Amino acid sequence: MASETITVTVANRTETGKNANRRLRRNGSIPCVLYGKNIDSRSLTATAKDIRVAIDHPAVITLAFSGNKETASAVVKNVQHDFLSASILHVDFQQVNRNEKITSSVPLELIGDPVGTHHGGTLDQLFHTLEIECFPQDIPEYIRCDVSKLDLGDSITLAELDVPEGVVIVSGNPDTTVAHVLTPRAAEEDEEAEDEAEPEVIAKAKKTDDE
Amino acid sequence: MQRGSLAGNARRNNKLDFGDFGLQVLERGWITNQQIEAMRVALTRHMKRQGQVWIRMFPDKPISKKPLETRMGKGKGNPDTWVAVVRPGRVIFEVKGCSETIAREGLSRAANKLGLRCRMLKR
Repeated sequence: MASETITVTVANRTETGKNANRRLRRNGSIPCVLYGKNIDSRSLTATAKDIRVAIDHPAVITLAFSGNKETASAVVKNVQHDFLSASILHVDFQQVNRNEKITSSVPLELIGDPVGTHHGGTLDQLFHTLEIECFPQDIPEYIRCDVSKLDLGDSITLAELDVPEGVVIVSGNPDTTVAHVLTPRAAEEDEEAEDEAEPEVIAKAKKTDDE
Repeated sequence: MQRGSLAGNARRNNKLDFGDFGLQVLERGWITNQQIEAMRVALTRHMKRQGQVWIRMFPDKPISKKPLETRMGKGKGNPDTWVAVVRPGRVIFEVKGCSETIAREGLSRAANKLGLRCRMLKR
């Protein structure tokens, strides 16, 4: 959980539409929107530098409106990137109440080198982000999971994840697999080939007995 | 079928949806069925049948060609090949279930079969 509170200075945005937003981006700003429960959504703008700091920060941030002393607590709900240049196009902020639980998605980070990978297996991560429900101030930066003990064919489910207190995973049911070590296909085929070969050997042995 | 337009960027299929690694085209052009097959073979042979590969394009555009040493006229040529139309940003291959080193090298070998600039994406 991030302890520091980051403040992002935002300004109200009156112009909307792609031309106005392109002008903003050319001048080093990024269009944003603030929405939340029981409030009207507001079009905002902030500097790209501030936004880059804010989007790396999963916890609650403070939006300070330039020109007046108004502030709002918010979390970054969505970030749109350009698919070719990877630059930030737009950011959604969700206004939060510290006494109300919200749903948020946090990255799942697997740590450690699984034992199975030393035997030719491959670690397969099925979930890269998890949907969680908690109070805004309890949102963790990421959920970590140690996979170093996983051998070939072993898996880890949502129920086995170590989540901070007050955080509930709502991504799926507890039996859902989040990561597993895949057995190499070549090894599987060898085993199958051996299994297939065995009956032939028995048949030959029987023939020799008969003879 | 007419030649059609290659204008604009890929509005769909421009990010990783299935795999952990992918190959994204940065230029526009036609990719023939022979190129797609050559890319697939280069990629899967390097991966040694590990993991899973998604081919995220399909050559659904027929290209006709007149036979050699034929005079103009006498109608349209017969279908010669099939192509997939790709625009900048299109993810054409995705890979999962192998290490990053293998995926990077495999996708690089696949990209060498293509006459378009590409880059590798990682989730």
